[in-house]
Amino acid sequence: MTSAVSPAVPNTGGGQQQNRTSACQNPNQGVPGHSAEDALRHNYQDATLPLVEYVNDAIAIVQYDKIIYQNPAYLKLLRQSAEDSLPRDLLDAVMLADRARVQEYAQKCQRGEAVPEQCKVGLCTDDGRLVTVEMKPRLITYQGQPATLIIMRDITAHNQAEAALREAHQRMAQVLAAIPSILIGIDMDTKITWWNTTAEQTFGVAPSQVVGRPLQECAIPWDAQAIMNGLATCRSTQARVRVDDVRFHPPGRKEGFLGLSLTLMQSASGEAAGILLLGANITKRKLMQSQLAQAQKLESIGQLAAGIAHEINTPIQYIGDNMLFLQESFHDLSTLLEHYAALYQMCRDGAPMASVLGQIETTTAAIDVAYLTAEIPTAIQQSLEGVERVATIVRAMKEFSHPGTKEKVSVDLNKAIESTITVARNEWKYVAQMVTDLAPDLPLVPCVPGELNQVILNILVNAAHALGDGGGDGAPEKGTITVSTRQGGDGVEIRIADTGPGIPEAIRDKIFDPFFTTKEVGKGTGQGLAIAHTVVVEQHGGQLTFETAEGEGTTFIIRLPLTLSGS
Amino acid sequence: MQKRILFVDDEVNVLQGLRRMLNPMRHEWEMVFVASGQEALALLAQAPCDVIVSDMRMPGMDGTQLLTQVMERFPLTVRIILSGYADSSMILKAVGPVHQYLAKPCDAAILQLTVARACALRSLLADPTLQGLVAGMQTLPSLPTLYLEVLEAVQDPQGSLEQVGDIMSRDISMTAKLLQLVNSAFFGLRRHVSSPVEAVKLLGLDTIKALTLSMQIFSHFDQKQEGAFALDVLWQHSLATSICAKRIAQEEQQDRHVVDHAFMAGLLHDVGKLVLAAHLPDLYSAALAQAQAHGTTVWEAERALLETTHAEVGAYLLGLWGLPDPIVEALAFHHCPSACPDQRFSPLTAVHIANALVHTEDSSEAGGTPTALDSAYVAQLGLSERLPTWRPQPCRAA
Repeated sequence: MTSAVSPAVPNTGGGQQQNRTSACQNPNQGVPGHSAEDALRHNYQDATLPLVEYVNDAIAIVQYDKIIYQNPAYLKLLRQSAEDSLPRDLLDAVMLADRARVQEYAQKCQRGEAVPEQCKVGLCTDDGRLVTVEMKPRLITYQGQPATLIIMRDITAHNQAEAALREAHQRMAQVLAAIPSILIGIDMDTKITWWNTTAEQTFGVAPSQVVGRPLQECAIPWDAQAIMNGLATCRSTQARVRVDDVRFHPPGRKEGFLGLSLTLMQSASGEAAGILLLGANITKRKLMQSQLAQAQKLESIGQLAAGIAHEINTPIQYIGDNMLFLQESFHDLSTLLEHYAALYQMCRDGAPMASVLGQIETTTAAIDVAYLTAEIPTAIQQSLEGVERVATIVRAMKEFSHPGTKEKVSVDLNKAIESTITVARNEWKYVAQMVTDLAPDLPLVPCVPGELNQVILNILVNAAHALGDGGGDGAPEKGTITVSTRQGGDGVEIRIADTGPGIPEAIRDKIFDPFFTTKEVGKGTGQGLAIAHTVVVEQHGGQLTFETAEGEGTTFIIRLPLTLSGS
Repeated sequence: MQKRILFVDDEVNVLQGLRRMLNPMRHEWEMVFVASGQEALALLAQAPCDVIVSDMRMPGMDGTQLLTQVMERFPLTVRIILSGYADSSMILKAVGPVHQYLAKPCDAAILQLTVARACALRSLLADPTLQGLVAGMQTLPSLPTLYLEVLEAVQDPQGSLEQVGDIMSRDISMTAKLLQLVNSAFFGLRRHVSSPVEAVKLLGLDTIKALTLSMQIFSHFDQKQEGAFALDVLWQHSLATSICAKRIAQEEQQDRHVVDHAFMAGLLHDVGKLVLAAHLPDLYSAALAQAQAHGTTVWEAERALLETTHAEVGAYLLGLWGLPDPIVEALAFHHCPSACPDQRFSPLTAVHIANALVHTEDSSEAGGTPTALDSAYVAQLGLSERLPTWRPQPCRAA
C-alpha cells in the first residue's frame, strides 16, 4: 500500500545493535527461553532464520499486508501446510471483526508509528477452528525493507480458563446474593471487607457507610460487645464460634435477635486472612419456639383440664347426692323429734301417751330410722372425703402451674412430683398403679418449678400412653408406673419407669426430636419430650436419658445438678 | 310392677351417693349398684333391667364398650351415660350405643326424671320385639339425596354451618338424631333448641363432620328398603306439616317453646314410619296394602297387623333418644289427641290439626284414607272456628 519508509526507522543493513533497539522497544517484554523475540533478536537478518523455526510462538513477517515469512509454529497454529505458497494476505486468517484493527496496526508499525504493545486477535484456522492469540507487532528491517514482525501466542486455552473463572465468580456472586443471610467479612485488622444486601436490609446500613472501616468504629445497631467477644474467641481458639441471641435494634423498627456464626478465613498459604460473620435474624424463629413451647403447654393443660374436670366432677356428684340425702333425712328425723318432744311433754305433764307412742312407732317405721342411723355417718364421712379430694386437686393444680415463677428457686422435688402425679391422676389411673419411692432426705434442688413440673408431666403422660396402648378392649391388666428420687454425687436423679412395651429400636434416637410423635395425626404436637430435653439440658444443665427394653418397659432418668450453673 | 335400674360406676362413693339420694324411689325402683362393666353384664344375664346408668371412664371396660354390649345382648334396656368426662373423641364413640347422656355433676331431679321417663316409655310400646328393634337403632335412614348433599357439604372446604344446617333441617332422620345429641349432654349442657339449624350451630362443623364421616351416625334408605314406600311423598308431607304446625302455634299466640316444638314435632311426626319401613319392610308393605284394600287409615292397618302404630313406634324412639316430652307426646297421640292426658293447647294440638289439614290438601300418600280431624278435641279447645283460617295455601308451601 505504501512504500514510504518512516524516517524514524533506522536503516537496514545495520548491525545487531541497531536492530535490537528497533525490534525490542520494550526490553521488559523479553521472555527468556523459547521466546521468538530472543531468537529473532539474533537471527532475523539471516534468511534461514534457523532459531525462529524452533520457537513455540507463531511468527510471521509482513510487508505491505503480505506475509513474506511464517515459522512452523505459525503454520501449526493455523493448520496450514508448508507448501502453501507465499505471499498470503495477512488478513486472510484474521476474524472479520479484528481485521481493520490488525491492518491498521501493521501499517502503523511499518510506518514506525506507535502501536499498542500487544492486542488480542481472533484467528480462523484453515480447518475452521477459532483461536485467540495475543499479537505483538514490531517494526523490523527485512531484506533491506521495513517490515512488521508479528509474534502470536495462542491464548485460546488461557482465554477459556479466564472466561470460566469469570463465570464462576459471577455465579458465586449470584449465590451469595441469593443467600438470605447476613454476610459480613472483616480482615485481620477488623476492617469490613464484605457487607451484603441482607446485612444492609437488616441493619439499615449501606455498604458504602461501613466497607473499608474498622468494625468497632461503625455505627451498627447491634450488641457490639457480644460480637467483639465472639470475634476474640474466634481468633484465640482458631475455631468457628456460634453467637446466638445477639440483640439488634435497627432504627425505626422493632428490636430483634441475631444468630451468627463466626468463621476464620484463611489465605491460600494457610494464614489467617479475616473472619466471616454469617447469620440471620432469628427473631421470628425465637418467637415461634416460644409459641410452640406455649402451645405444647396449653395442649397438655387442655388435656389435663378434661381429666381434672372429671376428677372434680366425680366427688362433686356424690357430695351433692349425699347432701340431698342428709337434707331429707334431717327432715324425716325432725318429724320424729317433734313426736319425741310431744312425748316428753306428755311424760312431764303425766298425760296419756298412747296416741303419741303410736305416732312414734309409725314414723320410725316410715322413715326407716335404722337405715338413717346407719347411713348418715357414712354419708357425712364420704362427703368429707370428697371435699378433701377436691381440695387436694385444687392445691396440686396451684403447685403444678406455679404461675409467674420464671427463675430458678429451691424446689422440693418430692412435693413437686406428688403434685404433678395428682394433677395427672386421670391420665394414668385407668391404666396404671402409681408407685412412688421418694427419698425422704432429698435436698432442695435449684430449678424453675413450672418448667420442671411440665417435664415430669410430659414423661408421666407418655408413660400412661405407653401402658394404655398395650391394653386391648377387654380388661387389660393395669401396668405400673414407678417414680423414684435419689441423691447421687452432686446432683439428684428422678426415675420414671413404666412397664409398657418399651421403645422400639428404630425410633430410639428420634424420641427427643421436635415434631417426632407416634400418636395419630392431630394428637400431640410431638413437642413433649423435645421440650423436656430442652428444659432439663439447656435450662437446668442436667441430663435426660432413658433405658428401655422391648416388652419390659422404659425408664426416663432426669438428672439435675445441685449447684446453679451457667445458663 | 317395680322397674329395675342398674347403676355402674367404678367410684364406690358415687354409687353410695346415688343410692342414698334415690332412696325415696325405693318403692318404685329396684336399684342395683355395681362397680364394673363385667359385673353389670353378669347381673344383666341373671335378670333383665329396664334402665342402665353407667359411668363413662372405668378401668377395664369403659361405658361405651359396656353399653355397646348391652345394646347387642339386652336390647330392651334403656342405655344412659352419667359421666364427668369431657373428652370429645370418647364422647363421639358413645353417640351410637348411648340413648342419653347426663353430665356429672348431675342435678338429682334431672337424673330422677330421666330415669323415670325411660321407665314410662315402656307403656307406649308393648311388644318386646319392637321395643328391642327400636332401642337397637343407632341411626335412622335419611332421604338418599339429602344424605349425599350432607356428605358433600361437610367435605367441602368452603362448606358452612348454615349450609349443612339447611340440608339437615330438611331431613327427618338427621333432624331426629341432631335433637338427640343436643337434648342430652353429649356435647355440653342440655338446653332448648329452636330448630335443627340451631342444633347444628351448637354442635359446630368439626363435630358434625366427625359424626357424619367417622361415626356415621347418619345413613340412608337403599332401594330395597324403600319398597312400596314413597319416600318423597312422606318427606313432603312432613315438611308441609311442620310449617303448618308452626303457623298454627304462632297464630294461637303460643310461647316460643311451644312454637319450636310444634315445628319440630311436625317434621318428625311420622318418624315411626321410617323405622317400620326400614326394619320391617314386608310387614309394613302389607299394612299399606291392607289400608288401601279396606279403605282404612294406615295406622289402623298397622294396629291390625302389628298391634301398634307408627305414632307409638316414633314416640318410643324419640323418647329413648331423650327428645323433649311435648315432642314425644305429639308423636304418640297425633292420630287420636283425645287420648292424651293433657287436654290443653300443646304441640300435639298443632301437629294433629296440621297433619289432618295437609292430608286433606294432598292425599297422594300411599295407602289408605287420611286420618280425620278429631273434631271433638278441636271443639273442646275452642279452635273449631279457627280451622278455616289455617286450611288454605300456606300449608302447601313446601
